[in-house]
Amino acid sequence: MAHKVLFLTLKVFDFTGGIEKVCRTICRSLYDLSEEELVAPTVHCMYDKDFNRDSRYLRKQQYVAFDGNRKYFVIKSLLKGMQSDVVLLSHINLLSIGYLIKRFSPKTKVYLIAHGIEIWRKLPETKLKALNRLDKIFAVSHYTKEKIKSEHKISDHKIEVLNNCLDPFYYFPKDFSKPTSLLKRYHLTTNHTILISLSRLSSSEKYKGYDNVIKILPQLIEKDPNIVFLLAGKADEEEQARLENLIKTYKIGNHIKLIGFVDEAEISDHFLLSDIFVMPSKKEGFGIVFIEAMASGLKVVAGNKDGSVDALNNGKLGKLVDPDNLNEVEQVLSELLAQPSGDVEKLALQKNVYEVFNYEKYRENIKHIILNGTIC
Amino acid sequence: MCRIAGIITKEFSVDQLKHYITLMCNSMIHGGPDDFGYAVDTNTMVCLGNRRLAILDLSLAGHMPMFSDDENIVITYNGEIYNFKILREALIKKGFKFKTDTDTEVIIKAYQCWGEEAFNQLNGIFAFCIHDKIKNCVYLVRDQSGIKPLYYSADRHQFSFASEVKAFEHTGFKQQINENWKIYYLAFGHIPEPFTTLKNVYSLPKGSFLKYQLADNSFKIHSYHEFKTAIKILDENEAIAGVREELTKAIKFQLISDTSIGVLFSGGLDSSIITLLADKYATGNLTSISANFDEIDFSESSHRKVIAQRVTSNHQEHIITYRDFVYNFENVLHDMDQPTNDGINTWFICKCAKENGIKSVLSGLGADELFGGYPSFDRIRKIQNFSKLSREMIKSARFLKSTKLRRLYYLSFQSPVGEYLCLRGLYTPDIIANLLDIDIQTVINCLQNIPLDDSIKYLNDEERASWFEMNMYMQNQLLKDTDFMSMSHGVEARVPFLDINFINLVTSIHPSIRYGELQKKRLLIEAYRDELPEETWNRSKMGFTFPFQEWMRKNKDISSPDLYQNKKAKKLITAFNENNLHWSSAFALYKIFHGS
Repeated sequence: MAHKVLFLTLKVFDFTGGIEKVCRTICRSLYDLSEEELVAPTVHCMYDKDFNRDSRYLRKQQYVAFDGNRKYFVIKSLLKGMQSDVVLLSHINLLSIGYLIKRFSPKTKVYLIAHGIEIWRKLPETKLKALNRLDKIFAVSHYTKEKIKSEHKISDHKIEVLNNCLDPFYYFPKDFSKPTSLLKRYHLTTNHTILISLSRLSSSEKYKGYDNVIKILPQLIEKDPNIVFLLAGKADEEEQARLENLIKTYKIGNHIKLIGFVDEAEISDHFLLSDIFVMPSKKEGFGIVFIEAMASGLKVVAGNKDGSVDALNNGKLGKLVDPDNLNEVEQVLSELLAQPSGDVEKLALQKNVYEVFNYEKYRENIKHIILNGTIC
Repeated sequence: MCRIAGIITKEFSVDQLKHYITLMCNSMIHGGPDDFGYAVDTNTMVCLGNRRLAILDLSLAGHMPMFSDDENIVITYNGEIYNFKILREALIKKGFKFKTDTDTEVIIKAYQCWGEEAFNQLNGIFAFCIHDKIKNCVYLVRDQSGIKPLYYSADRHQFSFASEVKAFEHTGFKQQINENWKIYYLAFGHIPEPFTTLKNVYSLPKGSFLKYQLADNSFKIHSYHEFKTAIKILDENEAIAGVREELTKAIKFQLISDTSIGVLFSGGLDSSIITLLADKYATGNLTSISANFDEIDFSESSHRKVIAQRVTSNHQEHIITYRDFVYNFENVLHDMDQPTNDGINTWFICKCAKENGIKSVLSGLGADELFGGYPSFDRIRKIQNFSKLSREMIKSARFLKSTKLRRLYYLSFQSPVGEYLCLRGLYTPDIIANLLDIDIQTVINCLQNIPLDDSIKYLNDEERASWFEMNMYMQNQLLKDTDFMSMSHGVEARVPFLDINFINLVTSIHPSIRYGELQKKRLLIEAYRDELPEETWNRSKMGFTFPFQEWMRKNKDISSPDLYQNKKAKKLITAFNENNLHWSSAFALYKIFHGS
């Protein structure tokens, strides 16, 4: 008998952020498990529009989008959840529904996927109470687990770490040469040394660390005049204006390009184009973008004060730096730039990151969670 | 299978003729990568060119243009004559001697033997030009079903022809743009024959030949074949036996090849039948090729498995991803000889065929049109009823919200073109006028003036729908797209359902037997019920469908409203992003505003 699973989400396909990427991967895991007839999944999404479903991840019949109709979402999820064996909550904001399901149907296992800052901060008493009623919390990194423990006093045995993984449809390049089409598009040559960072450029989130890279760029340019920093990701108007001013202030206009939104199909090629992925962020729950960059053979520099530590496998896959220490960031970048990777190293990095963060392993973990309530 | 071109003009020197014919042929090199040849007759200044894709007799003996033994006949030819061995035997009996094993030589000798009567004896897919030095004339000939394309352009300075419209940019004569092409494209989703995107370049009608008199530079188009319409078969068992017999013959004929051959296998009814039959009669070098997708909704892989288990042919399943779509999109647009809303799928699957070393593929194209597989076969009766309403009332349909219902507006047209556009059109005249910033009456006049064959006047119900599907949709869109998209990879597409004998048989079956009322393509299903698993025919039609709706919406280079300055286009693209517009309509906007 297939396990009835309800996966509750806020957004899955209408937005592209880390949490949404994790939700998609869980959707595909549930789909794959449904093909094995182990699971009968239903995914409820509070804010998505039905037509935005990406049909790579799950069947139409397995997905209900509520287009912002929260009341309807709550009622339907409650009713469905009470008939389910397992309810997965993709976000702490769905805790109250999980709590109610557990109240009305104690036999239903309710688990929360805990990502990053949304659960690191202080929570109201009601949420804490609900958090304690959960059967288990699956944190995307050890950092998040520790934060939950320290901030919310949840006992260790109730939290397990479920690291994120590479998207099941991530393109693994076999040829590591720099794509000529992109060199042409950005008016670059193979003589350029290219740093890249990819994240949402948001005026309300100032923790991604690209400001610090901009600050050290003049020193890096002094050492290597061919250096170019590609700052990729969709920027809001305020952040775009702020960044343009910052670029003027540091007089680095010829060495930085705000390349905007990068289509999913071109992400791995942007990593191939680059020499280092640098994002000394301070508040990553995990940082899927790091493992994606490494899956394209690209060396990564990340911050050592958040979930990035897990994404870089404690520094085994890439360099961890103190994101606030500009000298250290500069020094590490200089060291890495002095030793460019060849195809052999890139292939090895790709292989290593795949071994740790492949989708198949993740799907197995989801299977164990559903069947046994634990990854082990 | 090749690409052909020719120029006749006294305004150029011999060297200029050679230069331009080389340019014309090279612009079509994808369709003829194996050889290049030309021949200039310095007396008449007739210059014929050919780019060859060698499929039969791969030796140099097949070099083209080819001359008759006495060198009075010259031919440049594109296609395959499936019955060439039979004709060859007949000609040998009449005393003709052959130097090669090619079908090209058979055409030359058939022409020498039977003259113009020879054309209708050819069973195959072909378009060729014969220069007859004795009769001092040039013939352009196109196959009965219009499978192979042939375009021509004539004015007082020159006469030229080619397999692709894009080759006319290299004739050495300035070409003017056909100002109406955007209207046609936005209404139909393609450019209907005989028109093209160039003002003086026309498509030669199927089953006809053009005779050009070199003495006075005049020409006339003659029809040499018309499919029979008389109903002869009234018994279902007789119809089933006939379908089985003629389709088997067609498949056997079309398996001739000196290179490996493939089947485009989607897993639907038509391609499953072709795969099963081809597997039975192929001599071991058959590969079935399928496209698969990461997108669960579009994956037909499980349906194909059932058939794949029943055949011995090698099966190749290729996953085509969103990334493939993005990275090849510009190439697809470039290879589109004429604007069209279809054919992108053919481009991808033929790319896979090419990568597997396959030069010829069999396709299930034509069965839907012959046996009533489309929704138009249901809608035609309703449409006929609407026609009884007053024109003014019908015209008000353009204020309706639903795209499908808005198309009812087309029923106010005097011409049957309106009926077709109601069934299959993209945009209504008011929207086209807005998009192109022109007067609505200009749009209406342009569309109403498209010439249609008179035979449509005498047809009703499913036969009328079938006529529209075969003579308009299939002729103007499917066949054209299939040809240039497959040939862009140097892959020849063969279409057994459009074998002339098979069409003659099917059109002679009484409509009550030929079309199923409750079950689409019932006769075809009945004919192969024993061979086909039930799940192949007893499920909703999927077709050869790619996830373009998802891919194009996801690709901001197509779907970002900011890319469209025209207010109406911007609004329509916004509707596309909200999933309220079909991808083909959005793609047409992209093509009009960015891709042409």
